[in-house]
Amino acid sequence: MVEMIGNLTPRELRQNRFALLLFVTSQLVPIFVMINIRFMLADTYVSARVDPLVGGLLPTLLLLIAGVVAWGAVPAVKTGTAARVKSRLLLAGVIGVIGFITQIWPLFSHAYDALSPFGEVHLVSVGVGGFYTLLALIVLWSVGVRLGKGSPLRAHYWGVEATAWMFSLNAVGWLALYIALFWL
Amino acid sequence: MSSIVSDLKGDGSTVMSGRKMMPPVVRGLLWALIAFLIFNTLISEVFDRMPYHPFVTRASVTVGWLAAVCAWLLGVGVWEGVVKPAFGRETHWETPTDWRKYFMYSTDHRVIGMQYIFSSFGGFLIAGFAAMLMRLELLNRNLWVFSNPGAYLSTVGIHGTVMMFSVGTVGLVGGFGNYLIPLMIGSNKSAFPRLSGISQWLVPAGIATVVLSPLLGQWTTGWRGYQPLAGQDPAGIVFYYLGVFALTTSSLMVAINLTATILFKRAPGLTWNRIPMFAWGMLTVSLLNLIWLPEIQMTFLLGLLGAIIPLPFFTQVGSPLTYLEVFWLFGHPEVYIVVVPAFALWQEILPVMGQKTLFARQWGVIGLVFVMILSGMVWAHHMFTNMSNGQMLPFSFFTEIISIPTGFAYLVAIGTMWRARLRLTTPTLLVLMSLFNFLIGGVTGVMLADPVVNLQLHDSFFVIAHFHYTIIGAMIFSWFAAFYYWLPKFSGRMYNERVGKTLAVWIFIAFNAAFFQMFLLGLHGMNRWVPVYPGYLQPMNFEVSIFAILLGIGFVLHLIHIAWMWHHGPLLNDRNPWRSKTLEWQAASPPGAVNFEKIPHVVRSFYDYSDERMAVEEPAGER
Repeated sequence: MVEMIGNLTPRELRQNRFALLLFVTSQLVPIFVMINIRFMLADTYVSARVDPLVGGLLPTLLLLIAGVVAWGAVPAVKTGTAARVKSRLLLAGVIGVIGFITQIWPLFSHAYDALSPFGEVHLVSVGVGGFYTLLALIVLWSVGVRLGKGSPLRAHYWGVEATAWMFSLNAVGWLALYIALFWL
Repeated sequence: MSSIVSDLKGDGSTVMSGRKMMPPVVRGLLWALIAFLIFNTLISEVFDRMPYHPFVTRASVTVGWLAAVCAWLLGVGVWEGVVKPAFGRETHWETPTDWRKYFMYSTDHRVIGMQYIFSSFGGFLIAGFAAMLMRLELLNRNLWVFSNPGAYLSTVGIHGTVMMFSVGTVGLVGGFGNYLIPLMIGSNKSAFPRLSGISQWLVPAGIATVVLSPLLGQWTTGWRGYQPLAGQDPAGIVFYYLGVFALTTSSLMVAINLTATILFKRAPGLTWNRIPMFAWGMLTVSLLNLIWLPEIQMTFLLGLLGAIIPLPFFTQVGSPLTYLEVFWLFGHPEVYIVVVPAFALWQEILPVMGQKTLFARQWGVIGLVFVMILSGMVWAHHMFTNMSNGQMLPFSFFTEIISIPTGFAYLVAIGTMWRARLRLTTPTLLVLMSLFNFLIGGVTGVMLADPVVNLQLHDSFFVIAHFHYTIIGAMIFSWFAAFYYWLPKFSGRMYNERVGKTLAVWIFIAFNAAFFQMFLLGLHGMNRWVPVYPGYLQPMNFEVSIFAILLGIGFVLHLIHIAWMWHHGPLLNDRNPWRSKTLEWQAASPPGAVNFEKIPHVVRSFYDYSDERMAVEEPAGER
C-alpha cells in the first residue's frame, strides 16, 4: 500500500515538484537574458531618481523573508495544524504584497523618455520581477481560498508546498536581478 | 455525455448540472470580443488618451489583446475546468462524446492531440495560402498581385511566422506528441491534463493574431522581427509579437507536460533504454523548447515594449547586431525544434516497415541528444556578414560539427534498411523522401557554414532553398508520413495505398522541382525580400512558381485523402496493421474510453524484430 501525501502518491508528488522546478528553471532564462543583455545594450543604468532602498533593497529583503515564511507552512500541513498553516500563508501574503508594491514602485516614478536608451534594462527587470511576484501571489491566493473551504488540510499539501517553491524561486530570481542592477 | 473535469480537492466530485450553455468556442469568441472592447476602450479613452484620440492605439490594442486571450481561454472552458476548481468551487462542465468535444476545453490527451493537429493544419493551410500568393507575385518580375512591396513583405512575414510557430513547432509535438506519447509509454493520461487543455487553445488565438496583423499596418521584417527595422514599421509588428507570444507559450506548456509525462508516467519495465524513439524525440525537443522559447519571449517582449511605450532598446543602440544576437540564439535551435521529431520518426517507422531490428539504437538516441546540445552553439552563422574572421571560425566549426550527430540519424536509418524487406508503403515512401530532402538541406547547410560561401550567398534564394529543404523537405514530409502511419490508430480505418503513394510522388517531384531551382536562382543573384527582380531571372521564377503551386495542390489533395479515408476508408481487420511492437499498437484502434484496461508490463525492446515475441507481457495490473 502506497502512503499518500495529501491526495498524491509519492511518485505524483515527485512529478509535480519536477514539473514546477522545470517551469521555474525555464523562467529563469528571461532573467538571465535581462542580466546579460546589458553587455549589448546600455548597461544597467538606474536613474538617480530611483530610491535604491525602496525599489531595490527593500523588495529584495521582503521577498526573501516571504519565501522563508511560506516554507514555514509546509511542515504545519504535515502535522495538521491548520491555524499555523493559515497564519504563515497570510503573513507570507502580506509581506509579499508589500514586497510587490515596493518592487514595482519605480515603474510609476520613472520618466518614460523615448529619446534616451538609458534605464530600460532596469525598468523591464522591474516589470519582469513584478510579474513573477504577482504570479506567486495569485498561487498563494488560490491556495488560501481553497484552504478556507473546509476540506481536509492534508489534501492541500502540494498547493502549500508549490506556493513556497514559487515564493522562494521568485525571490532568488529577483535577488539576481537586484545584484545585476545595483551592484555589478 | 461524459464529464471529465474533476476538482482540485481531489475527491473527483463533479457536478452534472445538465444546464444548457452556449457552445464553448462561440462563448470564448464572445467573451474575447467583450474583453477586447472594454480594455481597449479603457486604455485608449481613459488611461492613455492620445492626441486626436484614436480608438485603437498600440498600447490599447496590446492590453485589449491580453484581456481578449484570457477571456477566450476562460470561454472555451478554462473557467470551469481550471479557474473555479483552483479556488475550490464546484465545476459544472460536461463533455459530449461526439465531434463537439473537439471544440471545447478538454483534459483527454487524445482529444487535445487532435485539437492540436487541427490547429496546426489550419495554420498550414493559411500559411500555405500566403506562400501561394507570394509565388504568384514572383511569377512576374513586376508588382502585379500586391499593390506595394510592404504588402508582399507582410505576407512573407505571416507565412514564415505561422509556419514556424504553429506548424513546425506544434504539428509533431503538440499534435502527435500529445496524442501518442501517453499511448507509447503505456499510460492512460498525460502528467498535467489541465495544463495541456489550456495550451491548445492558445494556438488558434496566436494564428488569428498573426493573420490579423495587417489590420494594424504592414510589417516588413519577416518571421524574424528584425530590429531596428521593425521600429520603422507601422503597428502590425505588435500583433506579430503578441501572436508569437501566444504560440510559444503554448509550446512551452506542451514541453513541460510531455517531459513530465515521459519521465513519470511510463509503464512498469519501460526503462530508459526502452523508451520509444519518438518519445526520445519529444524529450529532446521539449528540453530545447524549455530553454529557448523563454529566451525569444523575453526578446520579443523588449521589442513589444519598444513599440508600445516606447522603450527604444534596439532602435537607439545603433547596432542591428544587438537584436540579431538574441534572435538567432533562439532562431537556430528552432530549426532543430522543428526537425528533431522528424529524425525520431524515421527511426520509429523504418524498423516497423522493414520488420528489422533498429540498427544502433543507442547511437540514434545519442545523435538526438547531441543535436539538441550543439544547436545552441551555432547561432552566429546567421550573422557572418556582420562579423570579423576571428568571430566566424568557432561558429563555422560548430555548425559543421553538428552534421556528425545528424549523421547518426542517417546511420541508424540506413543500417535498419540494410538487407531489410522494406514494405514500400506510403509512410515508408515519405520517410525515404524526407531522408533524401534533408540530405540536400543538410549538405547545403554545411556549405553555408563556410564563411566564404556564406558571405556570397547571404540573403539570397540559395538560403531559402536550404531551409525549406530542412523544414518542408524533412519535417513536413515526415509529418505526412506520421499521418499515414498512425491514421489506422486514429480512425480504425486504412487509407488508399495507391492514392497515398501517387500523392507522395506528386509532392516529392513538385517540391524538388520548385526548391532545387531556388538554389540556382540564388546562385544567379535572386535576393530574398523582394517582390520585383531583374528580367533575366523571370523564366526560372516562373517555373518555380508553377511547381510551388503544384506542391500546394498536392498537400491539399493529401489532406482531402486523409480526411476522406478517416471516415470512409476500409475498416481494419487487425488493430496492429503494421505489426509494430510499440505500445500504442497494443491498444485498440482507435483507442476506447481508456488507452489500456490494464497497464502493460514492458519486458524487452520495442525495436527488436529478431523474433516474433512482443515487447509486453501479461498486464501487471492497473496503476
